Amino acid sequence: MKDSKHIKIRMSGLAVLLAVCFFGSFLMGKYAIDPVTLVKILLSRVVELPVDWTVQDETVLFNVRLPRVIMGAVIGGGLACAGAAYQGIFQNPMVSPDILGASNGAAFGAALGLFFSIGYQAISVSAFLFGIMAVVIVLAISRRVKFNVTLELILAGIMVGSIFNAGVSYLKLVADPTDTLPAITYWLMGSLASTRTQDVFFAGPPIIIGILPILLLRWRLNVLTMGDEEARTMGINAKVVRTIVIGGATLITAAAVSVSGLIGWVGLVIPHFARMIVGDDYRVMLPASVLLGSSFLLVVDNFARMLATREIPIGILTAFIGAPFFLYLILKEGGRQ
Amino acid sequence: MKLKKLFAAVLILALAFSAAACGAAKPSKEETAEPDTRIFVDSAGREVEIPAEIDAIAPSGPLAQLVLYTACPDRLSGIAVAFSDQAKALIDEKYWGMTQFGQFYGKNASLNMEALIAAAPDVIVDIGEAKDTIAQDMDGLQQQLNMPVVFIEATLDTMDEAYEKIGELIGDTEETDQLAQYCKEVSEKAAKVSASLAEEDRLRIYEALGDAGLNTNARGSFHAEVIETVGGINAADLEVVASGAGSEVSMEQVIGWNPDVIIAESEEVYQMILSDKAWSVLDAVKNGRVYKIPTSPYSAMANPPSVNRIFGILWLGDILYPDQYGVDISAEMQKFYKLFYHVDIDGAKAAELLGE
Repeated sequence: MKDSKHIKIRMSGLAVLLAVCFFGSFLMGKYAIDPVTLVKILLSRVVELPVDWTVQDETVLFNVRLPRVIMGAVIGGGLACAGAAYQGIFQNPMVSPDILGASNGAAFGAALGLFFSIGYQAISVSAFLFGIMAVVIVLAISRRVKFNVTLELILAGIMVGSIFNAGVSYLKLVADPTDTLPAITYWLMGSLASTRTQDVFFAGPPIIIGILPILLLRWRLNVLTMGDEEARTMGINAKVVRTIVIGGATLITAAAVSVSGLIGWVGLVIPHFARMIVGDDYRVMLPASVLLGSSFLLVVDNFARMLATREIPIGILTAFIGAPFFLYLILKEGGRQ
Repeated sequence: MKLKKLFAAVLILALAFSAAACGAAKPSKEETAEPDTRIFVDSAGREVEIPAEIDAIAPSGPLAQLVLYTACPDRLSGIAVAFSDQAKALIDEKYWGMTQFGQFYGKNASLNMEALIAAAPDVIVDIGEAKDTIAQDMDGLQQQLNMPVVFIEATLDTMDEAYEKIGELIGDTEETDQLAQYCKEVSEKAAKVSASLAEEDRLRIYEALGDAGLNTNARGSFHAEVIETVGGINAADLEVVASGAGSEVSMEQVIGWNPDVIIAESEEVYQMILSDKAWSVLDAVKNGRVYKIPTSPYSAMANPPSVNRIFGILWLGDILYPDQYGVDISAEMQKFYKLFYHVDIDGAKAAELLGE
């Protein structure tokens, strides 16, 4: 058991890491802005300063980089939080936020929107609603099951998810290959490249609203990891807690996918990483996951826009980094036993 | 608690940052000298203020890249995607290493906005078919990049208008008028021939794509437009039309259609059709009516569906109805490649590209 002082130091370290990643990300980009100018431009919003920078500097900073950095931090933290919570309530370390079909549903909603070319904002709305709908269907199915609820939830989630997946594949088949097909394909790869300020306002609030109840219930998650029976003996209604957590995680996942497309691995790997740093106790592990998830996605997104002059979809990079790391964890765990 | 304070401090800083961004509505201070501008009306009907002199243009995707390369290669300030090896064979080396910006498809594409802004083009041009949301997409990008973004519509029938529009955009119509004229003549010729053909004279064509030649662009799909334009009939009459080379068919279906002419996209498929036993039962194979589509620098049929298809009309027209089209395809190829791809090829090279 790690003592509390140790954990506090480590948590502070994670908070500092996030701050460094957050502000550091403003300095990274294919359009070079020197740090002094950057600070000056930011300050000019609050106080009057003589203008010695170009319109381009300002455009890059406020229209391109700022929404992107904020969105990356919020989505990274949100996905890690949702993943950690799901791993707890399903008592399964291999679970990620898309287990109940939220991502597949949202991807289908987006593909449908792109297919009918309904417009930038409407596509996000469609993705968000379909993401929520997928999970509602899963919950409705699992309500009819009386035994082993978590297993049934996961199975129903996988089934509903694959139905939406098939829907996406069909849309790709019939989509116009010159613009609609690549649009859907790129969308599914996940990217923060085109994040606009309006996206931040659209997806930011639901993600934060989703994170809050999970953070507030984090002590109960500890109990739930031991199983429903044990939770009941401690006076906790497992069903209620689970439903609230699923609701929050679904809000997070659907909102994240609706603006950024599919970004995998964050929700699966980051909670394990957080466990290695601060231990299994959800009271600290959950906030640690949020901090770490934000930092991780910010760093990966810097690579996405810096590696080449054309963007590299961030979903590809998270998989490249996430999967080997996960393998390393498995090997390490295996070696210990 | 130290931890909470730190966390709060980070949050406050983040919020201050966000607040600063939200207040970002006020326009930046006046520039020292206001540069000359003019108003350009694009194909989506948008009035866009562009610099009077257009020297640097950024394409928004591969279609725009191809059309702009044919119209004004020296005004490109970068490219959307790298040229393929087939394209490189005939495209001047100085264009190979240009900055790649990636492509824009409305959302979550690979367009690197910062690299685009850093290249500082005078205007960003999107070329293709108009989607319902095109004006909205263009406005959104223009607002975010704070740079003029224009859309120019180009379909197989309207290539000439697209070139005229580009001429208007760059303020130099000398070359673009030639290209527009060429496209117009080809389209008119095809329309005339196609209209004059009796129904029983129309040949049925099967386009063999994919590794096994069993993928095709079905009748009615945007990608097989050339076949119908020249006056042929697409043999692949499918109930469900996938727009890409995505329509998978079976050998039985192909035998059932028994096309008069087969065109193959790759050399491997072309050789396979000539030698494979299953294909040998088809009339087209028996009669020696199998052809390899010229694919360098771009496929004459569809890939990408742009100005390369203007040559495709002449190529396929010459195969199907040589008397009606009456072109010397080798000479025409040299002319087209000179005009559009800015490359001189001799008769031997043309024969090689035509697979003769």
